[in-house]
Amino acid sequence: MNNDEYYDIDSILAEHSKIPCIFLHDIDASVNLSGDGNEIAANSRVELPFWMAKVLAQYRLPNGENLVTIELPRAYGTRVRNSLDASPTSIDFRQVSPYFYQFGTKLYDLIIDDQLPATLEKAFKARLKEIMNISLTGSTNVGQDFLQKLDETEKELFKAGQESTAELRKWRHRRRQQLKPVSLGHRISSQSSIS
Amino acid sequence: MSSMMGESSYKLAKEAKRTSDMLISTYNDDLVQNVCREIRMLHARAEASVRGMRNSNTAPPNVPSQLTQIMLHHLTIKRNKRILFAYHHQRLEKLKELSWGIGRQSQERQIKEALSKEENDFLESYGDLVNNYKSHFLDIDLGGNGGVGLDPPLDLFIEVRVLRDAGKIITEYGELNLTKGNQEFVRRSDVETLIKAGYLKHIA
Repeated sequence: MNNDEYYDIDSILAEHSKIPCIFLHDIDASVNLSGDGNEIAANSRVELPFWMAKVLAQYRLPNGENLVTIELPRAYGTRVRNSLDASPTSIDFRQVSPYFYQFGTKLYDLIIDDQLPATLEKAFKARLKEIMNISLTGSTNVGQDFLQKLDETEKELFKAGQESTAELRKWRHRRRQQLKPVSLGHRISSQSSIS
Repeated sequence: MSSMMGESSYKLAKEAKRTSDMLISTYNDDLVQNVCREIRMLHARAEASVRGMRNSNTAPPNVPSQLTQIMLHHLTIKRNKRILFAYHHQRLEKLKELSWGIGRQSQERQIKEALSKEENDFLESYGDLVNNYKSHFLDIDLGGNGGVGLDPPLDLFIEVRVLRDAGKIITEYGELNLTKGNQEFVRRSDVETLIKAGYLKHIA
């Protein structure tokens, strides 16, 4: 994790995503790993958030054994990958994994998977075209379903596209020269821009 | 415990994400206190576990399990700490932006209520620092507090419409009588502050 990421809210929320772990030892009920007070038998699977799983996976017991092994989460499994290959723009990332790209890049260190970067890249490129198309043409009705399926990274890009279209329109109508009153309210204020 | 621990801090992180576009948002004192309480409790438990493991003469029943528990407590503490930092860091950055860009005269009371005591202190001290800095460059308007900032103007005279009665304004070049509803053709430099404050409206 580089220094900027520590304070980054998106990175924090991405690390909240769950990942399946297989415990190699019995865990008592008092530890309450799964949250409902049951004990965990050895070689059984539990879903833990990434911020826990990452450190536990890298931890070695005093006798040299591993504590857990990690599996690839369902969101990056074969089924999702096949549908990504078939039609990247129809996958609903909000349901699959809202931080698909960010979480995926975090998995690189933990799980050895040669296909993962290529898959992410392909999906990203295909969907980006669609996103930019919708955001830069300014049509409000077209593509609403697709917009519901974006993950957080894509949403930011979409917002950027929308803002630049709005700025262009303002410039064209010479509204960029208008002085505006400063409104603080509870939003980012729109200050005057004298171009 | 893994699903109960870390929930307050997750809520705090989500709130930080939700308010990331707003300049001022209310300080969620309850959540922050909850997270801090959780950290203290986890720390106490972890310490007790470690002490128990060290002091026991017989071989402990299930070493991996106990180690897992301690690790879990430790990781949750670290996670809570990170989220607390990120939450406060985001708010502070916005306060800094507030001091530089906008100035805070118009809605001081609202701002004061939304922030915690420490944040209010920060805002004041930082505002003093900024003003101190600006005082070295009084010729240049660096923005904030009603000034326009570093963007150069395009025209000398502009059309404005009066939104609120401002009475007689005395400028370097003469007098201006501003009554509501009138449209005037005035020098830009005179009226910039008034436009920013909302008394006049610039007509393109």
